[in-house]
Amino acid sequence: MRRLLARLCGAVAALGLAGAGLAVVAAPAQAAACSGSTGVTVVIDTGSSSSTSCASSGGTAMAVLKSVATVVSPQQFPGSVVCRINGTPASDPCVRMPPASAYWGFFHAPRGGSWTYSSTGVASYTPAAGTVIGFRFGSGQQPRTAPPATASSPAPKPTTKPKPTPTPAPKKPTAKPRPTGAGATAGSSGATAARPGATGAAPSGSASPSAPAGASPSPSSTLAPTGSPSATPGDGTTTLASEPTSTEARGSGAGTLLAGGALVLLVAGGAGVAAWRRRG
Amino acid sequence: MTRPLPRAVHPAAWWGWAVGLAVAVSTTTNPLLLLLALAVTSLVVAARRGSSPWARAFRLYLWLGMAIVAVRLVLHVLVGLKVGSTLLLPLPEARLPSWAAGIQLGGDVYLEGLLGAALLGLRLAVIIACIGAANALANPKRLLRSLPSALHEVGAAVVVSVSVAPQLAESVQRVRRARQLRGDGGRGLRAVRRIALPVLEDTLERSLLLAAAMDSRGYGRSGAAPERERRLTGAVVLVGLLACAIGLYGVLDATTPALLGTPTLVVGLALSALGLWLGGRHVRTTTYRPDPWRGAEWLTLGSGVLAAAATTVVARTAPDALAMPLDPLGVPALPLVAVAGLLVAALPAVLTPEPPRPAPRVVVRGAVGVAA
Repeated sequence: MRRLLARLCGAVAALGLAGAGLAVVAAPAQAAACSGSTGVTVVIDTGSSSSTSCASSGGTAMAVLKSVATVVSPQQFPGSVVCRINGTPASDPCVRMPPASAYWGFFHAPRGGSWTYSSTGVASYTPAAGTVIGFRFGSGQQPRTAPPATASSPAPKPTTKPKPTPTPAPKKPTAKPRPTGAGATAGSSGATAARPGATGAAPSGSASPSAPAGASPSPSSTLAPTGSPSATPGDGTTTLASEPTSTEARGSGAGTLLAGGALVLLVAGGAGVAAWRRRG
Repeated sequence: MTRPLPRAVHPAAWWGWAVGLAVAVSTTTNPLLLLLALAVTSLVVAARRGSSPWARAFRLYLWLGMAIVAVRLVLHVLVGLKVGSTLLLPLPEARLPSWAAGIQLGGDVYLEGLLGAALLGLRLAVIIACIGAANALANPKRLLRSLPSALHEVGAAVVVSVSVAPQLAESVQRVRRARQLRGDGGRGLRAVRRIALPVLEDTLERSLLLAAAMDSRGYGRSGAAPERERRLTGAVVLVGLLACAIGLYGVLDATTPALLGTPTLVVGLALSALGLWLGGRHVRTTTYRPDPWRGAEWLTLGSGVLAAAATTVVARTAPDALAMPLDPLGVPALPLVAVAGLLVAALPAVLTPEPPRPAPRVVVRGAVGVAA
């Protein structure tokens, strides 16, 4: 997933604005700021590029962030600290707490308000629906994107969610177009638009006004193409994000556990025998 | 291969082995590695501990470790930050004011968070077991004897103070017994008052006796060094220790300039060593039957260092393998290099000479005390 996003960002840069705009169409649920008072808008600023997306799921800020991005926690603080978002930074091994000069600062704000540096951790802060949370990589600076204001015309209500396509698992990066169930999402822009429901008008929820690229409510929505390969709505992305990144390093589960347990028991048994012989 | 004669392995070797094992453990939360390290320390202690009283204290360290894990779990449920997705125990959560927002009082307990807390507790428990193993395997009095000669006096003072507690207990026993023989078997506060005074007197008398004995053996004569040199030694040691402290701070705090880190620490250590050497030049001490440093010592020390090195290598190359996967929950890995390192650390259990057998049981208590 991380690689996918990195690759996609690069691809978008190459394709240019037109491609980005069309990709926004293809990624309805995630493209930009939330439209109404539902959902939490997530601003991710890597320091070089900024992206805005909308998470429909609730919960802690960590859960919200995980529903729209790939998050890696430091080894020593699993689940409670953010070390890497969408592959940034690549240089941090994510074993200990990130240094104070290069970490993901966590901010929250009301829609259209100003950023507040959070005084609580990302796993203990629960953003209210209709607010914004922001992440900025650096030494604690604010995200350069202001918290997006609520769109003045919330006309396209998210009445009908797009059906998840039959193959919701974009394992491979999308250099190759992957034919999805209904409408052949090709990498080329024309085919993307041919997706069912992705007509020129709003396909679903939030991102609809952004079909004309300039009119997007979010200042910059580079993360938009997340969904483009095979439009996975919120829930699908969650499961993808939590996919283990290094399955091959973990070996086969039960066998490892059995071998390790047997080894421990063997050595402990040796200790027991030695202690018993000394006492006897 | 002939069996080596029973002898005590050098205490410094055991301490090096234990510290190496503790370093290896400190980098991991992998339960398989933690339990393996615990089994290895138990095996070596069971096979090679001496027969002195502190050698039997390893069990106490294990109990202490269990208490640590239990306390860690309780604290996690009470005030810990509960993360995870597998709900284990639904509990109410108290809303705290904003200035205490970092603390989560109560709240639903999740399997992932609880497991993480237990593993952190287990890691500390295993580190403490390593130190306990060193205590059980190495005789502290013999370790103090191998101090550099500049610290000889300090070492002697530490030995005296270490043996105060058992002597005090013995003194109390003696006085109580004498009073009981005279028909005064009182208990409670009144008895304490009647026992305390003789014990105090006994202690004073003993320390005077000890001081006289040490004086007659040449302790406390520091007049050999000229005044200037003593001042120089003191200044060097002081500056060295100060540099050590600053260097340690620099190493631990990433925001200090690089010059204050490792270079200052190295200079401080060098100055301290120089000070010890300068101070030790004029102190001439001999050791009665010094502990030898032979192959078994090298093996013991090397196995501990190897365990630490193996885990460090794994931490550099595959840090994921050293952590219990909690996000999402998974099966811990079994990194072969780290496992091999820990198994090597178990070798002293069979390859070092056996400790000397205790004297047969028929010997009366007093005689054992003299022999020790």
